[in-house]
Amino acid sequence: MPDPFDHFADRVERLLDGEAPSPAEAADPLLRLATNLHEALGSETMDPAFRARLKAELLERYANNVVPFPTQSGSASRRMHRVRQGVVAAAIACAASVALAFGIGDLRHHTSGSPTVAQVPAVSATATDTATPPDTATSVILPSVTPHAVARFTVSPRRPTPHAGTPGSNVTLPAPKPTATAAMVAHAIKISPVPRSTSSPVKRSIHVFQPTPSATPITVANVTRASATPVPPTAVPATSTPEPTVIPASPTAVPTATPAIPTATRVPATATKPPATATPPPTQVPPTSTLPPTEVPATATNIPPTATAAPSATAARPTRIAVVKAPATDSPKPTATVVPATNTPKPTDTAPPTATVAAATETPSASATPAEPSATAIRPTPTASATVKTGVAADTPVAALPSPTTVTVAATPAATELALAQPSATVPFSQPAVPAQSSPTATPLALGHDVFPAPALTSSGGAISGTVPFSPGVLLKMASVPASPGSLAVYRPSSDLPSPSDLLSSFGLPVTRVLGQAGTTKLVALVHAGNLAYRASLTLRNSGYGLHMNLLNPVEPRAANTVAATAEASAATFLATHQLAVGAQLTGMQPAGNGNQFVNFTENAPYLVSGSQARVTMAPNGQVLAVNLSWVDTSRAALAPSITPTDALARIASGQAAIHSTGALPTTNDEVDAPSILYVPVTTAGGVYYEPLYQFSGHTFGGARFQIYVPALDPSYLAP
Amino acid sequence: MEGKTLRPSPQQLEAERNLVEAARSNPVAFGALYERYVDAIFAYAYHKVGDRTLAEDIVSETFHKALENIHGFEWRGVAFSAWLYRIASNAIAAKYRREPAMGDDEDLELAIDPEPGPEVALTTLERRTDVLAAVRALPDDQQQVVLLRFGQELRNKEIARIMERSEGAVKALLHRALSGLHRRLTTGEEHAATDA
Repeated sequence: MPDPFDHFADRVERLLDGEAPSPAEAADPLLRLATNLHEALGSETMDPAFRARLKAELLERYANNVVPFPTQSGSASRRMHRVRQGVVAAAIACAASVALAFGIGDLRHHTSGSPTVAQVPAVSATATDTATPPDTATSVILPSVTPHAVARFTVSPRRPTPHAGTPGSNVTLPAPKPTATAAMVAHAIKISPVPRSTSSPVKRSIHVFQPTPSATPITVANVTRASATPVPPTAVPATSTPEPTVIPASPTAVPTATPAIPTATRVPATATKPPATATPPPTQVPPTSTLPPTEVPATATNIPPTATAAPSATAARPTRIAVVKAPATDSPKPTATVVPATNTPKPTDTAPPTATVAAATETPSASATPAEPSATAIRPTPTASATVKTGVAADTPVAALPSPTTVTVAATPAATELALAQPSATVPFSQPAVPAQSSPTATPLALGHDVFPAPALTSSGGAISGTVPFSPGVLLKMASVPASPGSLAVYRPSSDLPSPSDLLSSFGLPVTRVLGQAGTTKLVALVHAGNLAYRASLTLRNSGYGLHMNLLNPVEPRAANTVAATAEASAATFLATHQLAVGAQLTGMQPAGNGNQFVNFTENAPYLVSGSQARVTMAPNGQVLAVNLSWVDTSRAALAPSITPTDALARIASGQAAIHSTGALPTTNDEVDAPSILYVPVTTAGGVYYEPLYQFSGHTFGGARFQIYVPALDPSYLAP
Repeated sequence: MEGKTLRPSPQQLEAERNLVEAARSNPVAFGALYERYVDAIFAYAYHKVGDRTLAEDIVSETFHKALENIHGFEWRGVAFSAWLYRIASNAIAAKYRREPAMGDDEDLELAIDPEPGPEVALTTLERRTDVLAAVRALPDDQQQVVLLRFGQELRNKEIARIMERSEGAVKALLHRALSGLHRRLTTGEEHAATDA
């Protein structure tokens, strides 16, 4: 029996493939809903300017070789995980050692007393000199003790690596002598704190445990912050910049020790080595090891996961990220291949130090498993900066890159472009309108300065997409002719948007706490209205704003009498008090559950203004629970005389309109409904204007629906 | 529907695979991938967050991350867009973690087009608004399934890949999402009818 979910998914699949549903499927409400969803979740057009800008930014970034070093994502967390594993393993090793000591003594004690007790031989630490991947923790195998059985404790071959057996550890040391303890393993590498001094190089000695019976830490390298102080004679002269801190390689190291020491930042063997002659002298100080560098020729580094490398980065770019180019395992050269960066970072660089440098030396006879990226992160001092880079490429400062979140452009109504058909010479939309009137509620436009451009008959998308010039037109009938709307508002864009917090304050909703902000156009904050607290989300738009508020205080109980009578008045009062949705008119109420009421408003205009609507959710006690409004700011609108609906029909008849039809074109016998006024955006250099259009809707005798659009403004305001 | 992406054929998938390979070293190829998918990612982000500015942020973050990590991208037989949707989904989730006050269901109770958009007929807007509001009120996983299935026309297999679920789980989520949506929308209509 097929799974019902499978069956339903198949039917949805067929539906999305365009297959006509069977009658039974057509009656299925879920499938009908699927169809509606398919239509409702249509494509959204993004702002073309933003689209192009983002592409240019991406390609520029690409061209600047910011393609990151091909490290695996999450390597930093993986390294931390390995370090944690190492610590845990060391702790287990400690515990095992202690348990082993006690266990041996205990067993010996029992053995001496009873011959039936298992014979426990001495612990056999099977340390070898071969390089075994330190991938397992010290194990103690405790077989069940039976008569005549011989319990055997086995300490697996361990090498006291700095990570106590962490896979991928970057330092491979000879196997320990039996006297090596887990504690030593745990502290195999440590950085000795050395006080900073301004007069001498600050040194941090890295001690790597050498598995000798004495377990004496061996200093293999000094991490030296370069300064003006002369370095030892063997050192490469340091630069005068104090910031680089490196753990240098020993270029003269004679690789005699086995196994080899894998490096911390091994790059793929296919990586291209940079030409040594093309790079400036390294700024690192050579090691001042107390032991021959052949013992431990390399150490670990901290390579940030964001380290990037690109082949063609130029020296003009400040280098902040350093990666060590480690030789491949089959490298014939035992010498280090540390390549310094082309330049040193600026001391003022606020970016955190990203890496120290690991030198790499590998013996030709190295048979050890190549190391993985370092699990040991030796963090440099805060002022330290890496100066050695990978052989793959130079680096590009990450901080110089455009942040993904900084490319936000001012919200422009990309999807609000007028979507009429190709312009027709007979369609007068290409003429600008000039406002000449003003009203007490409108900001008059200075004649000759702000000229309303006519809607451009280009672009696509939007509700009136797919229109074509309706020419020659026909004189349509209208069942009921509405009154003339009089002068209509033409909405100008806001060139001087206030800050969201200022706007909230101007609404009498002072911000008490900012919860979030996106750019300069959206703010989420706690606001107060009287003694009530709301969470408000305000979005500024170029011709208005959107505001969502939700009450945070508990609703006070009160008798729910006369709720319907007071809800609309309370909502209107609230809006008027806070100067929200100025010019709103009540359009209706809806139950909102729990006795609450939705009170709906639209803009007070002769016709509905799309984009301006408000919904106030009222509690039974008259408290405002929520406000959701999207409003076109009428204070930024200028009025221009409009033509009457009858005049609009005449213009349709003269072929000065655009039509969208699903079938045959209307004839003189067809009738249209009373028009609505639709504001369409007109994108110009000065911003986006909104101009009104009449929208006539109707259907032909054959049942084909159509919409006809014609300018609602008086032609005298459309300059030739 | 206009603007919908057609499901790629095996040949197209292979061509896309070559394009992705080329994009690792060729900015022109990456630009082609950008052009191919930027609108779909934007639509997905916009339907998810309901805010054009935030959606653009998401798109930007998505493609920057794609550029950063395209070397690590592994072709697994599904369209490159699946990877992009996943990045976008993670970016949206991360953004909401950073800005928890933004874009939650309460604010989307009345999902008004963030741009004034007066070009949209009011009735159409209201209907669409209701549907979008209902979608955004769904649990996150169901919401994602609906947006990817009906908004982006991805196959269940691709959605499963994006959401790291089994295909069967995606089908179940889809059914639950539609049932919930139907319930929600029907209740709203009943309210309206009662009011009228």
